[in-house]
Amino acid sequence: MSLLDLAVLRRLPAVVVGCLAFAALGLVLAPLASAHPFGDPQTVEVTVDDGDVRLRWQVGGTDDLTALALALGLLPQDRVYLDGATIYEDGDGDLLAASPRLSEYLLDRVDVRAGGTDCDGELLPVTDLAADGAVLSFACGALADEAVVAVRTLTDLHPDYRTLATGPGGQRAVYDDDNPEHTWSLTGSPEAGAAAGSSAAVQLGSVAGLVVVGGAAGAFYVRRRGRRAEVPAG
Amino acid sequence: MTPALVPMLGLPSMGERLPDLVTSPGFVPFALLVSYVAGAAHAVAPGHGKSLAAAYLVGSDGRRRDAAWMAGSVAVMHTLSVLVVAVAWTFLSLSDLVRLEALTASLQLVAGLLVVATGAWLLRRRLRDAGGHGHGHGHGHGHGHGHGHGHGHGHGTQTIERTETHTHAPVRRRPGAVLLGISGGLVPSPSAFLVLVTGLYTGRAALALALVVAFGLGLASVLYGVGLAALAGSAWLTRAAGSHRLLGLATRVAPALAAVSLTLLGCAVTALAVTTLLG
Repeated sequence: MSLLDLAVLRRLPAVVVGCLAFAALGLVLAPLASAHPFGDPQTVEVTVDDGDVRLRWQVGGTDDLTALALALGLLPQDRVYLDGATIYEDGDGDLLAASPRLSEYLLDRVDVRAGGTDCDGELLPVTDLAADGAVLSFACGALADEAVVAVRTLTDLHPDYRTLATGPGGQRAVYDDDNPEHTWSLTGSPEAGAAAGSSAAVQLGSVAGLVVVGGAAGAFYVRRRGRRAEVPAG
Repeated sequence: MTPALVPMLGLPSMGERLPDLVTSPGFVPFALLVSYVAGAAHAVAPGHGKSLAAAYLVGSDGRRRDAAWMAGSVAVMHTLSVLVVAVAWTFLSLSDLVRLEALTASLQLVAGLLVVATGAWLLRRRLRDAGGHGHGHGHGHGHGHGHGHGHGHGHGTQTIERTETHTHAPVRRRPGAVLLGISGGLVPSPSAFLVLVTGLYTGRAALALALVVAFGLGLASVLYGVGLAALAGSAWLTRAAGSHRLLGLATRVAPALAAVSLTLLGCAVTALAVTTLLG
């Protein structure tokens, strides 16, 4: 048995106790971390079209449409399972799209201000809510360079919902319960999006580089210590 | 502790609130710690490879080093997986090509097949070993063992635990441990994915990736802990087997049983992924 193994063995009880304590902490916290199916997040795409500000809103998972239809009273409550889950069924999206409550809901939860005044919004005809989402069009009169867009969709159902939004020229923003507003440049140039991409690449590369260097240094240290420990045992 | 983090710890959705660490101001080391604990909590939830890790380590006469390789592979693979999916989703319009549900189900399928392959390989080795011992024929010993992979064996700790394997050529356990680690980290956690996407959208990609790395280390820590516990249990069984005939039988059966369990669990994971894809 090498000295390294002896040293590790001496620490083994502490390591095992530490790991078990950690696992116990995880067991306590695990029920708190509620399982959620992996899916695309809710998104909003802000564009400028013929002087109007347009927002394409799309849910992440289709079960969100079912949850919204339930919340708006379009579906019976027996569609909710005992564990609180809802499962999307064909027709849920069409039911929602055909109801005036969808328009009322979206125009209540989304608003646009430009040049200090609120813009009048309307829901454009919906073709396939589940696949293509819904488009809201806001007429802002004389279009300013910037618009303040507030998005609060679905956060009334659960505060953990967040919306990933893209805007003109590759701008990006995240809406959540604490940050329901964002100011968009309506004249965003493609350079801004490219710069954001480059910044992300540099940031990711820096962290990845640090992790790799740290990992390599750690591996080198462990190997070197192992060799040193083996020499006297020789 | 920042105001943003205090309520996060008390809310019943720790994983789902994890992206708040990116969008709210806070103390970075504490945010990393929270992410680490969230990763561990995620790993403790059912279905994150703990049984697979334990079964493999018992079935392959594993050592602490194998548990460390497995845990390390999980952390690396999970970080890579989250990074690739999040960057592709953000910058390459991944969602136009494939829904994330389908993508993750496909990754789950690959992960399941990796487990089946590892389990089958382990089972085959166990059957071969059993055949060699039972009849004493020499032909079972020469197959594929001529790699000169002799380093690291013969430590004192192995003499009690691995008397059976000493009669064989050195065993290669690490590829299986790494494969299982890759399988365990292949499917990104929704929380970690959201953290990185949020970071990419808000210009805080570095912090977000650091949080994802911490999350992966949390995952790995739990698997390492489970691995150590499985090895400790296995070693105790082997020691106790000297005085109890029944335990001696259990010692001989446990590795083969673990190999079978690993294969069956892999089949279950694969079947679940296929069901999701077809559904």
